[in-house]
Amino acid sequence: MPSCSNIDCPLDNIVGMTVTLYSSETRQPLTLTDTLTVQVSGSDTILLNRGINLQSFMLPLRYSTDTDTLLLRFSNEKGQAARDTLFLSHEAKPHFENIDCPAAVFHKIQNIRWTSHLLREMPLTIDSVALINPNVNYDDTENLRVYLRATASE
Amino acid sequence: MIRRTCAFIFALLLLNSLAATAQRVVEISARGDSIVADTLRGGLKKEPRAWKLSVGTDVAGAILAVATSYGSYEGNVRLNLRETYFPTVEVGLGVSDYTNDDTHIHYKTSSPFFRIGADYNFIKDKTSGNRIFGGLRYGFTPFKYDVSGPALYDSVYKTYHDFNHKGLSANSHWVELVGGIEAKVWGILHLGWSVRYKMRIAESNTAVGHAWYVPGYGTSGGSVMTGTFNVSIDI
Repeated sequence: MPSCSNIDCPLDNIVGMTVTLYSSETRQPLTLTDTLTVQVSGSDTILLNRGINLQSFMLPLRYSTDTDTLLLRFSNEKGQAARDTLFLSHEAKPHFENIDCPAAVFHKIQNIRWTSHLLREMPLTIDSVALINPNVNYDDTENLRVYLRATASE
Repeated sequence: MIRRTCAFIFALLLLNSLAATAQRVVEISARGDSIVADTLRGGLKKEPRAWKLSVGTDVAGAILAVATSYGSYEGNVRLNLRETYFPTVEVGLGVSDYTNDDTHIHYKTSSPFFRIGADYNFIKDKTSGNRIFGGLRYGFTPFKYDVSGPALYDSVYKTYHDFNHKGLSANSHWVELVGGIEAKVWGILHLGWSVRYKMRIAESNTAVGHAWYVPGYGTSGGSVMTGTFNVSIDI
């Protein structure tokens, strides 16, 4: 005889990669005063449009391929702008929670590469990226930590 | 001579009396239960047989397997030790072939499960054939299931991702606290019901995560409460 059961679907059912911003000089969380736009490479799809005063943001990963190339465009009020690229290798994993809940796609980040622009173009660039948690799922936990540099590296 | 004769007659009478008492002490009833004479109280006390076997099935699980989204066909063999202890083995087939109307996800499984454990009869009158029991079970199932549904739409990149998985293998282990009652209806036929609180010990993941319906256990969760309606026959 079956039990009494209730529908137990997660309230937060958005799957996205959580990216946090840090200062490479102080190694502390950074609030980005400049504007950041994230665009999919080779497409006009905008994932984050002119975000400002950001400490963290969430980006979706692609279901159908195992590589995402994201263009991070920094711009400031002086009219300076530059673009860095983030290359992500990940494995898409279908997820079944319950027959009453829609299926979803989780991801496991396997590799990260990035580019850094010259500071004379725009005085803020990606110094490094750290993989904190490779599992991208319903949990809104930190996945990537992007260290931004405003000064020339030694 | 007369004294010897009287002594002899007295001895014969005494022996005859003892023989009658012994005969009354050792009387076997037609049912096969041994009857132990209580000569001090002058009454007779019945005791249950040392052991007997019964076989049974859960009717509720079978009805639900036919009529609802999941259920089970289950049989059990139970050893009855003096109407007090009941070591039990339960074997069944858990089945599900269900499509959710809202999500259109289809789940299908048909896999065996096994339980072993024992019950204790709390009722004082052990000869009545009625039982109030509590017990424990250990359950285990190695099972396979299929899960499929509409293709997953990536609204950002405008692509579809298939969701069709067959033959996913998993296994699950759990323990059960059992309580119930059973009545002797007629002759060797017993009817009863039980309530079971099941707690999962371990379950393996598959490529898509945890299973929804686990044969013999129930739907997914760390613990679940289920019940059975049992029909059993003494053999």
